[in-house]
Amino acid sequence: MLSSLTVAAPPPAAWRIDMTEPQATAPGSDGDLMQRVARGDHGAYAKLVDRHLRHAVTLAWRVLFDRADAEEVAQEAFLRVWQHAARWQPDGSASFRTWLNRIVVNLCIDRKRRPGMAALDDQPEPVDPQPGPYEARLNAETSDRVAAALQRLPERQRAAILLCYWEGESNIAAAEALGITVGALESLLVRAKRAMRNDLAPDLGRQE
Amino acid sequence: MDLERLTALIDAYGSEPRRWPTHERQAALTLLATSAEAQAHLREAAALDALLAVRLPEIEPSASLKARVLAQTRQRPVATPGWRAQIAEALAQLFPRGQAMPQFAALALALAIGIGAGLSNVDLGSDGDMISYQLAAAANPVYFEE
Repeated sequence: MLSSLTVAAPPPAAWRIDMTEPQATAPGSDGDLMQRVARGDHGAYAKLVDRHLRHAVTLAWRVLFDRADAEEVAQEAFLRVWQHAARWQPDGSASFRTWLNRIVVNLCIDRKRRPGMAALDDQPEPVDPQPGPYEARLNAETSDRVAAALQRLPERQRAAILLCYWEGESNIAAAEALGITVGALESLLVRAKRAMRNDLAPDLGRQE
Repeated sequence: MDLERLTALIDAYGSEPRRWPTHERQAALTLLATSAEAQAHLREAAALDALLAVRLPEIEPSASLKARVLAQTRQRPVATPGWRAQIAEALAQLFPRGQAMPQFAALALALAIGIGAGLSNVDLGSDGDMISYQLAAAANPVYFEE
């Protein structure tokens, strides 16, 4: 019985952590491109943009649930990549993807801290009473219901669970990205999952 | 590791031990093996994890976004690495990655300069100190954070 508990089946492809990134400074790797960007190489910068812009926009959108804001965040994130490339350490524990995730999440959180924005963690996201075409489709399938449940979380809880579950970041990297302690991260995760469990109760019932 | 902490780990990180903090994982697995209560809690968490194991929608960047992202650096000055990064990069090109040679070579060189200056009683003044410092900092930047 225990073996069935401790030996988990391989996660589905959508959830699996991509460990295939080439060695940090191998030619053509993210690390190699970053070293070239640090010397002002626009071609290397363009390759990084090709490789990671979609991911940056997607992550920002998953935190903010606003396409225009997500695109602004992604643009600003790549400007910081350009400006701070020399600071990135290819031999450090963080991959380029982790570093980019940190920049994107920081920008998303900062965006919500601007004057006039609602407090981050104190209230649930308002749900648009007039959903757009994408939102209208959110009720169609389980994955869409999960996305909808995510959308109803406060940003910091959403960012925490996105980083740990979908981005495969370690607890330390996720805490650093959010600028909080590991203990505070665990608190965010517990609250996020409790809310999602309640939100997805019908789907959980169907599983059992 | 006690049952309370194991439950907290499962509540925060889910049912898959690979997501648990590395330094607590083995102790947590050991306790899990003997605790029926923890195993039941793990099964509950696994049900939610299975729901969360979905592919979320992805956003395709607009063509105009990509154009803006590429254009925004064209008028910006080149991000010039600092002197430590330049020395570190030069050493990294001299010695393949993964070998400790750059660190040892730089430290040995810094040490030799220091000993040589001392033995020859030559007063290098601040220049000698700076050379030693730069080489040592390039080899071990983590110890020379500004």
